[in-house]
Amino acid sequence: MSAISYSDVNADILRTLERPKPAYFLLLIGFVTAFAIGVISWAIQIDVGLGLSGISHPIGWGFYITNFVFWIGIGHAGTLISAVFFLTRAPWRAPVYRAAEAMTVFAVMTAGLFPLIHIGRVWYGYWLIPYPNQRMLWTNFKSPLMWDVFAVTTYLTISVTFFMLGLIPDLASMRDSARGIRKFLYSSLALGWNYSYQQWLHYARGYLILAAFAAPLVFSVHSIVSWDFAMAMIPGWHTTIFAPYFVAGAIFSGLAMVITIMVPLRVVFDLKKYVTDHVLQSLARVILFTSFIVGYSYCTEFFIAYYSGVNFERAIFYFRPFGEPGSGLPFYPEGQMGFAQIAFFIMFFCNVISPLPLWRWKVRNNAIALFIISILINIGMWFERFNIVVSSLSHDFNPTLWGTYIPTPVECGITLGSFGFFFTMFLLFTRAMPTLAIAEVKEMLTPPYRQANHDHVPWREYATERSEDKD
Amino acid sequence: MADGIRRRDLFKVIAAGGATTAAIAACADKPEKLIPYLLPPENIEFVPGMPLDYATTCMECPANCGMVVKTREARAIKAEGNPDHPINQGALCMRGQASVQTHYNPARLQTSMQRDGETWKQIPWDAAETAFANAIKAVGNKSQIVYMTGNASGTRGGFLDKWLSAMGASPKLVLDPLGQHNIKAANQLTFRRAEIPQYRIDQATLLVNFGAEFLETWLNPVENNRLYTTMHAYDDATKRKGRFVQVGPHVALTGANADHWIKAKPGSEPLIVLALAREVLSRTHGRAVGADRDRLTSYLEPYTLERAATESGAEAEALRKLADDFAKAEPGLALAGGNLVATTEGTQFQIAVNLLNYVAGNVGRTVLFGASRQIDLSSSHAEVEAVVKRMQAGEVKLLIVDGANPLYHLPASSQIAGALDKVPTIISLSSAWDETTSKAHLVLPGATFLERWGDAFPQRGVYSLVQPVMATYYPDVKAAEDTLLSVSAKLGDATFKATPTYRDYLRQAWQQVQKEVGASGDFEAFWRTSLQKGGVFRTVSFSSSVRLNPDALSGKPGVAKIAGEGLVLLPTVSLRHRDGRGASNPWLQEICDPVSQVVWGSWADINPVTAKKMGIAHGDMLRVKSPMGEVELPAYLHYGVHEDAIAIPMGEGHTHSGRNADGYGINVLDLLPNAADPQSGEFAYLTTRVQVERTGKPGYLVQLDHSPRQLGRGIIQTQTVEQARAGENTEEHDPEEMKHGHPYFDFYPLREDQTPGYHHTYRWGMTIDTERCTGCSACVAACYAENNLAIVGKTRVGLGREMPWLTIERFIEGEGDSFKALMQPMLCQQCGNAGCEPVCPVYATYHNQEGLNAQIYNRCVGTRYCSNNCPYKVRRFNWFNYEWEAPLNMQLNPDVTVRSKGVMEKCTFCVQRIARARRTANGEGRDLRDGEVTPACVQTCPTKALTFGNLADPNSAVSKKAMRGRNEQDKRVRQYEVFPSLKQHPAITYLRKVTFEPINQEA
Amino acid sequence: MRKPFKGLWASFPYLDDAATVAAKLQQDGSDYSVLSPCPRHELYEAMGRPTSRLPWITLVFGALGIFFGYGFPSWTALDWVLPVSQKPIVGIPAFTIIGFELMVLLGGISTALSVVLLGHFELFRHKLPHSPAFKAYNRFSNDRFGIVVRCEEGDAAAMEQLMRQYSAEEVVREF
Repeated sequence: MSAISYSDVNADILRTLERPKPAYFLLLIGFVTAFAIGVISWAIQIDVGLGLSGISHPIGWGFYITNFVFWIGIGHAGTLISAVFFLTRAPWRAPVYRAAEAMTVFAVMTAGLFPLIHIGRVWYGYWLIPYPNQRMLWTNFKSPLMWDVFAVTTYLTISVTFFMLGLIPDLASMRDSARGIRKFLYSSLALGWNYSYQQWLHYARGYLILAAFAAPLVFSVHSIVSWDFAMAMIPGWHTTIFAPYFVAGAIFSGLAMVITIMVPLRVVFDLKKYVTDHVLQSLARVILFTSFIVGYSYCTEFFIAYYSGVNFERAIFYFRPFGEPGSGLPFYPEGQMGFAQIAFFIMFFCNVISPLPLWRWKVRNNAIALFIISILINIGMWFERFNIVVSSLSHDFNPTLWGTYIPTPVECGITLGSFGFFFTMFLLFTRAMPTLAIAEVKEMLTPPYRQANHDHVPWREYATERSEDKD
Repeated sequence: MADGIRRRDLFKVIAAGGATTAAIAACADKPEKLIPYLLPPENIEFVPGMPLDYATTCMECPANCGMVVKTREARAIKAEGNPDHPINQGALCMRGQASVQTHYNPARLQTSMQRDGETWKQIPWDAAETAFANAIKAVGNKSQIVYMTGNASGTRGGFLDKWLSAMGASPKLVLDPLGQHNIKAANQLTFRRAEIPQYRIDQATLLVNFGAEFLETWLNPVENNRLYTTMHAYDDATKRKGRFVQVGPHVALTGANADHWIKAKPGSEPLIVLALAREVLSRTHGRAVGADRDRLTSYLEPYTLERAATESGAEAEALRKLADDFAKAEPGLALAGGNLVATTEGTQFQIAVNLLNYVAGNVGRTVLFGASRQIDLSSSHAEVEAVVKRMQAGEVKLLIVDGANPLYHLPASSQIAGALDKVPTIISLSSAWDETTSKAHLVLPGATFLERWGDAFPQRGVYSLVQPVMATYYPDVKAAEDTLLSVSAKLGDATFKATPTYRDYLRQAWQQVQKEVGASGDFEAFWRTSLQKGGVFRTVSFSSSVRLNPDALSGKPGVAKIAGEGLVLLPTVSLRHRDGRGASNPWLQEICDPVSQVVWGSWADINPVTAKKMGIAHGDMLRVKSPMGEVELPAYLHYGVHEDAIAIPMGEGHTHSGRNADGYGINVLDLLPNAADPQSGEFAYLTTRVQVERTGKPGYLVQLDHSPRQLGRGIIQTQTVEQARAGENTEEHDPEEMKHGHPYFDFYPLREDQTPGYHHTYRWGMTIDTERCTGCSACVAACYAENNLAIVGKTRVGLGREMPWLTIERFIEGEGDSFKALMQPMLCQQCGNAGCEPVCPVYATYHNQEGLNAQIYNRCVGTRYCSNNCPYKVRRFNWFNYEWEAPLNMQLNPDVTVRSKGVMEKCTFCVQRIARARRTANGEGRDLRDGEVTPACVQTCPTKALTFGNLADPNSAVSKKAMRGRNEQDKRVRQYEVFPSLKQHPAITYLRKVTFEPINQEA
Repeated sequence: MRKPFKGLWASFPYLDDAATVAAKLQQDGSDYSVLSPCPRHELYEAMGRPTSRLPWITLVFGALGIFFGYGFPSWTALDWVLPVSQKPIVGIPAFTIIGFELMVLLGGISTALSVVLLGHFELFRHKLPHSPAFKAYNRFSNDRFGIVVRCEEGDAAAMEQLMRQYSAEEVVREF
């Protein structure tokens, strides 16, 4: 990177905000349409009733909760990269973290919709907020769903704050070079940033602290989401490994999504010299690692189910891969396969098998290969959540009230819509904000020295420890 | 619901209700006065908001159980058994429970109409009656007037005869496809008593049943259920348990309750019966038969056990053992009846059964004559057929149908359709649309039995009254009897001058009753008290000593000859629709058949072995062909049917009975030849074989159960008699607990006293004795009626969206002929440590002071987390806004919220009843007494399998049954909770089923 | 604003120069500010590692969050007791999650706000020039380092001389 100078960075990144190619608008139209489909489907569902979705008795949660967990999972990579890797000082973080963080914000926004979509009376959704009311009716803080409400809102708020804070210096430099409405917009968002050390001082410290806050949040949020399931007593849900299992899965899918986004992004905006292959392959390494945690968790589940000796547990983990127990009745066919089994095998292939090529350096450094694998992983992780949510519910304690899941157009439409929403937001973001963190990329660069020799540090001989700010 | 009531109707109903109730009997004519509801009504008896009960008699089937109908604001909302009535003693079957839906049937005829071409033209009532009168005038030869009715109970029969003779018409026909003529004829021949005896099932120690579905529809199922459990259920006090053996080709609900099923070829029962008789005779040395011994011995000579075994395919060993037991039984009882023994030699078979009972000495002990039971008043098929022939010959000019539906209830092969076309004028007095009425020319809608007067004499000493519990729901509707009276008046006939209305006629008749029962005092008082009680009930003693009639020993019954190719067709009776008259009740359609768990439509029971041979899979669409016709229906693989047979229940396949009945299933009568038993004239059901083939299409078979196996999860637990008698508690054998080998510990032990506001004075609980539960499903219907449960229809049930709070779960244990179908009610367990409560984010469900899992509908936002976390899966979610097709909405219980879409709902032990009772108690400044509150399901249970009460009170009946270990001496033997390993601490304790042979429940 | 800005500002193309100047100014204790496109440790050292009070604010609000996180659910639970399935009315384990989330929430938001506010408070004490020239100069956000010195007109010459010595690109006096 040493070839790049400070002014290049500004130039390169400002370039990304110029008038885009028509392809951009085509893409945008596509996603907006998808979003519209989702909105219409939801409207119909609200009007007619939840019966329009495939959810039924005993399978009380279906696509919607699956999507919720999926998007929350996606929403993990951003904060992971921007906070955790900031604390660990990962050198390849700077170029990807802005886009990743934007992704996080939008993913969590998308996820936040689904609890509302899935409840029976969305028009009373606000009852989930503990607001003071005349009857002094409060919410049940013992309910995992209540924890969810707090975890997700906190996560959204913090990641937005973190995102905006990181943006401030860049917005300021946008401001300095923009004109017209944009100038007004940026300068109002930049909150009077002027690059003076009075500000940098607190900024650096504040950013560090915020990172320190966000880091545990990354792990807590998905743990809490996992407790929605682990706190219930349904076999297949009621497991202690759920928290780490979910967090690993979340990071896994999140990073995959980062790659899915960064690979085209760096081509379109021609940012190869910042988002280098090295950056991508570092992401790939983490993916490989998390993929192993996930795979390990799958096996653990099966082992524990067997080892516990609880036949409810055994039954569900027999059902997932092998289908109906049958138990020798001609009118109850054994091993009858269904949606649950398909989901299981897709999940296993995509999450455990498909990342294996990443062992090879060649594959890790091949953007195309990475892109394909990342897509597979995204699919796989969606089905993992489906597998957890649906197949566990479909075969729980009372065999006579078991059920099967049949997806419907409406819920597929809403799912499609969620992707539409997410990508629409992201496209708009790439137009409005710098997709790379200008200031932080500069930090990575070698600063302009007059003496080429960097060991020559003239200020050292004058430098004095300041006792305390004196007026 | 509000939009369901038209203002004027409401006023009419109230006013009429007022009149009905003012003096309990005053429903002579419609009141003119409208009472504005805003002002407190003066001349009406009821207080708005308070229920008012009327005692009446159920007319859903000829059994005529006593009934108490609860009305609110003068509309009937709930039917319950009349506790004073000696026959059903407060219980009702599911059809009785659903009678309110018959009353509010959307397919009810609303006004008088006249056919005009293909369409119907509404005409004023008076005009209609005139048209009726003219139609009678028009008929030259009055004997060409035929009257078909579905009901001739009590005084009604005599009244119709009188009216018809006054008109000069030919005698009435009473249509009921499920007649008991074989029995009556056989008894006439054997004992010179042409009557249905009283079967003292409760007295027997061994019950052998040949085809009589006595727990479903045969004679009086409610009474039978009670008597049967008295005999069969394990009694914890006396440790006694009777044995019940089912012999025959098919196992339905009744057979599923049997301890042992002896599979026999269709129609081979006579041989078995006679062989048993022979064995018993030889074992008892004719102790019972005295002089008849030699004659009987010689008569029974050819019927050896071996022959019976070979020809019937039953194992000789089983038969021999049965013979031993039957000879030893003190006393035993052999029951026979129903369609599967109604062959062309049905009477001969019944004679054989009589012999068996006779030689075993049961006659006079468990088979009592002299009760003169009027359970079957129907005309025999022969009589009906004769009339049909006359119609075809064009000798019937005027046909009056009144609650009779020949077009549906007679087999197509009897050419009834063509016959009806030959009748120039058909007048229908039925209350709802049906196949025959749709062919009528003039319709004068009749009233349902909740709107009219009547009575029934089910057996000697029981005089049961029918009174209107509300005004006719539709203004232009009139009780058939009253229509007839005014018509005869129009014709200037003087017969009924004294009695212008049927009520008057009835009162006249009851003056006779008063004399019979020897009630002194003036008639008004007698009449009024009878109305209040629902009738007059006397225990009368009668001699039942009978002698065997030697001529009875003439016949040579053998295996019934069954014509045709393929599998024997077994047209079974439907528990839910009986002969099909209940098919338009949505409840009866949506409540599953307990054994097959099928809803909305027919199915064909076929043995898995046969199915395998023919390559038929469960749910395949079959084409069933007989010489008479062919039908298509889905296959249902069922161990409980003979390999050589296919069983199809009656009652479905309507075409003009309203949208709740039409198009569901098929009518099995279309396949049957038009044959009858020559001796009794009874229609012969078991006469034909059918060719069965796959259509290749998948059948649309909707079942409530997913897995028929309980996979060793101990949901329905059983123990052997020995274990029970030894007081051995099999709780330790709970598969869950043993696997771990270490005792559980609770993170949250029951701290009912420490947690504030917990179980204060009451902890409502229930015990369910699976030993007493026969799976009759009356409780399910009661629950639907009491709690405004929604009907969702076939497709949605297929998607798992059914809404019952209480279901009869059925699990199959074992395989092949030795399979067992275990049934038990599953409802909200009101857990003390419920999984549903802590997960609700908005406290929509929580644990209330009295230990109920309260469900607050208007706080629920519908996350469905509670349902997910309920191990019993008894919570139901409102996926849509469900509608009650008018006027079914009039039945809704005002005490219970009608849930809107997006809300979770569940059983709360009929909390509205608890609240009402508590209000009364508080008024009297006391706590609730034990037994003061009874949920709908408990109230209607014919076998008292359910006990409800306060677990916090150690002396309450439920505590005594549940033995929650509150006091030391509690020794649990049969008590268990479902899924103890989950530590939900359910408030419902189940009592194990006690079996003679151990049932292997391993996964 | 107590007094208008008096002094001069300079822009440097090179980091080491800017750092040295800053160090010198720091040494003889003159009132100055440094501007740079991104935070650099060289400048930080040169300025003698100034500290920020920000963490204290975070601490206070974080603690507040924890307090509310336990307090609020406990109060609502006791305000009207609704027992759910034998669980303790005040369920500490359950409320821990709320406590944690609120700590993060309040702590985080307060941090972000104080970053902005503290920065502006400092600017009240150590002013930057208001001159159009300074405002128009937008390269500090791009690739230039800046030093602003607040001094009396008398010292201006010496200051400018110092800047020039370390190859300041341009030096502007504002009095």
